[in-house]
Formats: sequence, structure tokens, C-alpha cells
Amino acid sequence: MHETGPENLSALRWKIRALQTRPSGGEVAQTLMLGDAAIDGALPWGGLKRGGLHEIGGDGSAGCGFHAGLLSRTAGRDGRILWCHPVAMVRETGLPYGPGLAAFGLTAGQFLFVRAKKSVDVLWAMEEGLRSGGLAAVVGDGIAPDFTATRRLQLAAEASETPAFILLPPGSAAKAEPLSAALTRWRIHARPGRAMRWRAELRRCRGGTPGEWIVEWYEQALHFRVAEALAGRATAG
Amino acid sequence: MVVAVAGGVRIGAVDAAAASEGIAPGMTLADARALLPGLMTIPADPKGDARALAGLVDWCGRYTPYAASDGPDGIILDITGCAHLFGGEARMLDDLAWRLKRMELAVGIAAADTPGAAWAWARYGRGQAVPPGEARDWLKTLPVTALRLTAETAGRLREFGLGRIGDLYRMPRAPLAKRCGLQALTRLDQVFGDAAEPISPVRPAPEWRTRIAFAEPVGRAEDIAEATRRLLDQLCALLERNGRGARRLDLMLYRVDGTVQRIGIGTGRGNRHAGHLMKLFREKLEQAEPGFGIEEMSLEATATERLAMGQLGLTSVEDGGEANLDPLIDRLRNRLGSSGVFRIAPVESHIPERAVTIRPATDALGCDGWIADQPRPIRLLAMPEPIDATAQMPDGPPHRFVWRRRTHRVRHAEGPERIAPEWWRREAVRRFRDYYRLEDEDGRRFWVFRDGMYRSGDGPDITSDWYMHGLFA
Repeated sequence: MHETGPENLSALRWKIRALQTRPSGGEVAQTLMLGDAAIDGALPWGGLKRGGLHEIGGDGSAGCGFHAGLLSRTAGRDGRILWCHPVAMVRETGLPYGPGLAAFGLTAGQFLFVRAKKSVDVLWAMEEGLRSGGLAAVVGDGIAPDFTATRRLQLAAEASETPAFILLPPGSAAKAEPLSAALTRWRIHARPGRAMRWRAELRRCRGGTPGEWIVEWYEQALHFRVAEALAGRATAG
Repeated sequence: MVVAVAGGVRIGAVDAAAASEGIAPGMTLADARALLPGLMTIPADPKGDARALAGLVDWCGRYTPYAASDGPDGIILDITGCAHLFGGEARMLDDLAWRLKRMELAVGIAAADTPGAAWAWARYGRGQAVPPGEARDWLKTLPVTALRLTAETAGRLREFGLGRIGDLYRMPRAPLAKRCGLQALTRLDQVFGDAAEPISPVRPAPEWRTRIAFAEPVGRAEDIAEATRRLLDQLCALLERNGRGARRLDLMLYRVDGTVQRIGIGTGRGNRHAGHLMKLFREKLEQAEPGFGIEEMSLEATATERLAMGQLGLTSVEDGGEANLDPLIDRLRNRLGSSGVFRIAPVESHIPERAVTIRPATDALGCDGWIADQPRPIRLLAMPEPIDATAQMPDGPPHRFVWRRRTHRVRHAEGPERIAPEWWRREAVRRFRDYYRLEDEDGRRFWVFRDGMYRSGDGPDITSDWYMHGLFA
């Protein structure tokens, strides 16, 4: 009994989540909802468009945390995630850590990792993953692709209705932004005082307006929630 | 061709023109020059010769998978069951002779019932196929050296007046063995198939093989791809009939210049889906170098496994679930190597870096995850990195630290969480680790630990080392 406790808890969380986000009419949702109307309503698709490329940058591992939340929202605990990264990235920031992913309801079995020396191979693997059509999400970790590459990824993501994410290398938030065909471009900043809470800055959103929110990951029900709207810059939900 | 041996430079090999002037292998260079002042010599290159021979053995794979080099200057092919593909033994030999001549190689070729008979006829006969069962008759006039004898045995046979192979036929075996050694008899038996002589091919013979020959050499990428597709269709049909799936496939490209390129693919599970395998080859075909043209291609399944009928739904999308990823995994692995694609699995261990293990991509893993009763970082560094930390209290958390040349001021610290070494493991982590969750003034959260207990007072253990181990979300 004692040992199965936490697992039951996790299952319960997924149950709650399923109740909250049951898609109307039973169709496969085209939208990846973050789980808070304040932020989902501000996005033109009522959330993030599933068949699209989304770019996440930010300081340290804040972006990785926000991104893990998005993965949880799109893949659940069964959807397969292809996680592609250059070898150098492992030395820099390490792999995403399994026990840390547990807070987002993600499990070991759903990840397939791809490690390549060259970033062209990382991009190639991502595209292959998107085209295979059997994945819940495809991630490029620690790469900063040029416009052409993002365009290809965006088209592949759109065609297969599989979400693609780019996690920019650490420190890239400070650098000048290259052009990108990503549908949304996020910059996630650490927020003093509380874990799993970030200042999420939506710098660019195709067909929408930029915005900024203080969001946190609500571990108990596995969704995002807006902790405080930043007046002035956030678009009304 | 000259070789330097003990006692001076000697002639190693001669061409036909030199031979007609009386130059023979084994002469000293001085003697040869005396006979023929205008003799042109080149130094011998045994290593280069061996390489060229090995290349030629590969090329001979176009005729049969059982090809092996034979001594420093010979190649032996087992053409059992292959000759009909070329219109019979005679035409096969003609084809071989023509192609080798085009490569400007001077060769002797023969086919016979046994390797020994072919060896003899290629070197001492008139270069053609010895009809089945007629080797005794054909070979009787050849010198005994055609039996692959040592110089000593051959010399002894000659002393007895046995200069031709035919001379040996009538000799009683026992006295012959006694006087001249067993070798002559063994060789004789091998020549006439009374003693077995296996050919060891350079590569393990493939279980399944298909080939395609082109009327005109091809070089365009589309042609090579199309040929590969056809070979795959044939091979997959073959595998299907036999209930096998391929794990390894080798595509051999036989070029006009007598060289061979091998392009291999592997699959995670047995597969005979031509479409899927073609996708795997498509990646690799970029490496194909047709040179002056490819005249023949063959496709070999070098490793297969049982695959029941109807197990072919691997690539259908509606299949869903685990099997669905196999084609993707195969493609990724073929380009990035099998270590480039992997999964992670939980391990029951308190040591943070041990809680995760890397598994092959094809391993089926369940939905089990980690149970974290304490907050854990979202990223764990590949190795704990030493940091320069200063603490206000000797046994407390750091209030400031330098990591990767950047100074962080700690605003908030939680801990320690003590992680004990797993004493039942040897040479593992020996010391306690006290982990702290630190937050710097920008709100970044880190997972650091002090290696070993801080001990106030004396002894060499007074220093404690701090390490950065992970980053929180």
C-alpha cells in the first residue's frame, strides 16, 4: 500500500486533468491548451496550435520547466515524445532529468532521445519524427536553427499536426533574435520567490498579439495557471 | 619486379616479354641484367598486392558469395549453383576473363570439379572449364608441381622419375607416401575430390541474396535507387516466402573498374517491408560512388530472424502504440548510429545520477515513472561540477558561489537533504552528500551538494567540496 501511494496520486491527477480538458464532441483537439483561460484566450487558437512550431528561450532552465509543462499538456502520460539534442548540449545542461519530469506527470517510457554531433542531424531527426506521424511531440533541445530550418519544421509540424518545440540554448535570450518561422516565440524568465513559477513573455505570435504573464505549473492538476496578469502588456483574455 | 631478400636483390616476378628473354623468378638482379641490359624493374609491393587482391576478391562476389583469396596471387570461387546465372560455366569464365582483361590484369582462369583441379588447370592448363568427371584425364600431362606441392616434395617425386601428375596414378599409395611424404597423396586426393577441401569465404555467406546485372553500366542516382528498389522487392518476396525478416542488409555495388562498394543498413526488428527498407537505403544511397559506372548490384540479407506471416503492419499508422515507432527508430539509427537513439528508464537508487539508466531505443518500456517525494531538478548535469562556494555558517548552505565563472548570490536556500552512499555498492559514492536547493537573486534555482560532512576542528577532512548538480525548472 505504502509503495503504490504516489502512483495512485499521479493517476488521480491525470483523471482530474481528463475531466477538465475533455474535448467537446470527442474530436482530437487541434489546440494545446495551457489550462488557464487568461492565457489560452489571449492566443489566436484558444491555446497553442498543435500543428506548429513553438520556440522557447529563457534564462537557465526556466524555459525547460515551462516547456515540460507544455509537453505534459500535449502528450499526457502516454504520448511519445522525440527529444533531439546535439551532443555538446549534454555537457552544457545535461539531459532532462527523469525524477524532475515526474512533477509534470511525464514518464520515462514516453521519451525517445536522439543525440547527434551536428545540428543538421538534429534538425533532420526532428523532421523525420514529425513526418512519422506517430508522436505526440518533437523537441529540439539546445539548437538555434536559421529561418529556413524553422520554416521546414513548421511545415512538417503543420502537415502532421504534431507539435514541434525548439528549446534555445541557454544564454540565447540575451542575444539578438534570428528570424524564425515559429508560430509562437516565448521567453521564460525565472521568478524569485517560488519554484515552478515564471514570467512568460510571448514575444511573437503569428496572428496574435504579444503578451506577458506570470504563470505557474499547478502540479496537483497538471496544468498552467496565471498567477498574476501583468497589466499594460498582457492582452485582455 | 624485384624483391630484396637475404643475399641480394632478386627477381620476384616477370612479365611475358622478360620471360621470353630467359629471365626467371629467383635470378639475382645482376644475372638478369647480364642477360638483358635493358631490363626494367620495379620494386615489389607485397602489401599493395595483398590490398589489390582483397579488392578483387570482393569484386568476385558478383559471381558468387563464396569467394576467397588463395595464396598471395590467387582467388578461388565456389561457383556451385551460380554458373547457370551466367549461362553456364564456359560463358561465366569467358565473362570473367573479358572483365579481368579489361582491367589489364594478366590471369589464368579455370573451372573444375575441385579447388585443387581448378588451381592446377588455371596455372598449368589452357584456361577453360574442365568438364565434370574428366579432371583425371585432363590433368595427367601436367607437371607434379601443379599439385600445390612444396619444392621439397616436388623435387623428391622428380628423383623417382615422377614428373607428371599422370605418373602418380599407377603408383601404389603406401610406398609413395613413405618415400615422398604424405603431401603428394593428400593433394592428389583433393584434386580428384577424394578428400574434402572447403573454401572459406572472406565474408560469411548471406542467407538470402538477389542480384541484378545491367546491360550498360549505370551511374545516375535514380538508376541506383530504382535498382535497389527492385532488389528489395525480390528479396522481400523471398523473405516472405520463407517467413523471415531482415535485420541486416548489404547492398553491393560492383563497379566497372573492378572495385566494390558495400552499403549496409540494419533494423531493430526483423523486417521485410520493402517500402520501409527502401527508406533506410535512401539515406545511405547518397554515399554511393558509381565511379565509371556500376555493372552489377546485389542485395544480401546477412542477418535475418523468424517473422511470421502477416506481421507486416509495422508501418501502418492506425496500428498505434509502440510498434509504430519502429520504422522511425530504424531510420534514426541508420543515420546516427545505434548509440544516437536511446530511451531512459528509472532505477531504484537514492544517488541522483543513478536514478536514470540509458536503454536501447527498441526496448519496450512501460509507463512507470519516478516517484519523487522531494523536489528534483528538471535537468541534471552530466557530471557534478565543482563550484567555488562560501558559506556563512561552516555547516550551512552557501550564501554565494561561482559556477562557470559567474557569481551567484544566494537569496534563498532549502536543505539539507542528506543522501547517503549506497554502502552495498563498491567503489561507488563513498561520502554523504548534503543537497541544497538554492535560489539566486534572479530567481534561478540550483541543486548543489556538499561532498562529505563538514567537520569542525582538526584533521585533513576539514575541507568540504561543493558541487553543482542540477537546475530546477
